[in-house]
Amino acid sequence: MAHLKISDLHVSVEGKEILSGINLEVEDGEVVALLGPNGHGKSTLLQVIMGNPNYEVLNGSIYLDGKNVLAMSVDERSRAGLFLGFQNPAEVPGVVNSDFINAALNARSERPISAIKLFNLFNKASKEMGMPLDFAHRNLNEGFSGGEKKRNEVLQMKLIKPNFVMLDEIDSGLDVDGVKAVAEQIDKEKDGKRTFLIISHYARLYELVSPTRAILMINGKIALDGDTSIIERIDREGYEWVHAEHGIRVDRHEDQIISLGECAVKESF
Amino acid sequence: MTENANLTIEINDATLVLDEKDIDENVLNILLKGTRENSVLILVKACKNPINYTFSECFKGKITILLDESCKKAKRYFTLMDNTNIVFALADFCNSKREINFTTKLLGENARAVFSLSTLVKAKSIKNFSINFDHIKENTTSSMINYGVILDRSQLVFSGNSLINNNVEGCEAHQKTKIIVFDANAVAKANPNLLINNNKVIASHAATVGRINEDHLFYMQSRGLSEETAKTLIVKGYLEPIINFYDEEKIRTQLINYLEGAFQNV
Repeated sequence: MAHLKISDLHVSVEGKEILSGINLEVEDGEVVALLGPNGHGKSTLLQVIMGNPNYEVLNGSIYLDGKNVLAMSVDERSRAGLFLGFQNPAEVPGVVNSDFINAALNARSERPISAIKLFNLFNKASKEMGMPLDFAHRNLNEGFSGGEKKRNEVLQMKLIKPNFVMLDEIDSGLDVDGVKAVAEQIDKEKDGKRTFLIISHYARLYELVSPTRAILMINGKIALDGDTSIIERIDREGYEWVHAEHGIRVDRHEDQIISLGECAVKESF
Repeated sequence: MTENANLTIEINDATLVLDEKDIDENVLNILLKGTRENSVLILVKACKNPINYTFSECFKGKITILLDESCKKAKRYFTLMDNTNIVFALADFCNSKREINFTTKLLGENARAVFSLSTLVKAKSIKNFSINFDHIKENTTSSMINYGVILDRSQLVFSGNSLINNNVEGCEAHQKTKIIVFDANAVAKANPNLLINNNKVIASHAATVGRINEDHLFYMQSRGLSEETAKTLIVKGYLEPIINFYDEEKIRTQLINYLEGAFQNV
């Protein structure tokens, strides 16, 4: 089961409202493409569902399978079945990948996983994701290339087996083969019951994972909710037509949050 | 009253446990002799007088140090003679008050010392570590690597003092200190001091004191780890590497237990 219901969600960060009344219901087994220009709230929505403490929920509710998500801590949300593949996964010095995965798997099982079972699971998933052999012993995302970090996110998804998967620009930083490998794994994990909510700016990923529905977010609201023809149209024409045909102005453009890429990510430690 | 006595221990390519409690209290000078790779574990006891350890010419190997729980205050000298090459490692994770002053005297030419110290400070504990290097002879090298994690209402001060005298050339002195602060009420200070009186040297120091990164915690919790588990993994990430210096399985287990219980109440 993975049924998500969001009602009238208003969210701000540092006093500025980013989400202005989101209403969204996603059913079991849906694969939803989440589109929209930069800075219009797509990533914020996923971060809020996962429970990032930097965002303040002003109003509204989020329910997963009837359970109040906003009342749960971040780890409780994960154990309830939510998963977020980050746009910029954190580099955590000193924490070894295999220890981290071990802790993540043990957090959701009654008995600790055996070392052999972990080794086998990790090896199999690493091979499928095309990760190097020493990967288990490296520090969590530390010194990983952009592509390796994204592959690691999908690897974690494969091992944790969440019911509700959110992927935030999982294809950025990946080369052509990387996008194909990641898409193949996402495709493999679709089983008609698990739900996916996928942000991407590129039609290529969507072509490979075949969404069942597309949602367009503009100005912190859901502007359009329909079939996958929206993806093709945005890929061909950009966002101009939304104003012409639906009367929705893309007016937050000047306020967009600009990502300067990896080199501008400031890490304390 | 007996006068200060000397003790000479000869070791070659061997492992030695030197428990200061087993040594007569009048012994304040201990000479360690040996030219091959050696591993010595020193168990530091509480005692009023400083003890001087001298490492004879060409002594090589590692010196692991453990502080006795009752040892609130300790002053030790490590004197390195010609061509000695020693790695010191000190893990101090137990919840004691400490005022520790260790001075490495590089008294022989080409003497090299690396001093690694990792400590966990929690509850209301106060720990002060002064790690000093005195470059007395030419072409001597010292390197200090200090890691600290502080929790609750505890306090930690790391002072590193590297002195290079004016008549010695070709010395190298490096210091690196990193402290992570987990709680707003914890206090951390790093004092890196390089006192250099000669121009022909290579020296560096780096000191960072920072709060735990909230983004790291969020990322780890988003995979189902409780806050305590996530924090424990981060603490282990910083402090566990030093445990590899210790050969004794019992000590390693004890040190890991301290880290795994870092967030349990004392």
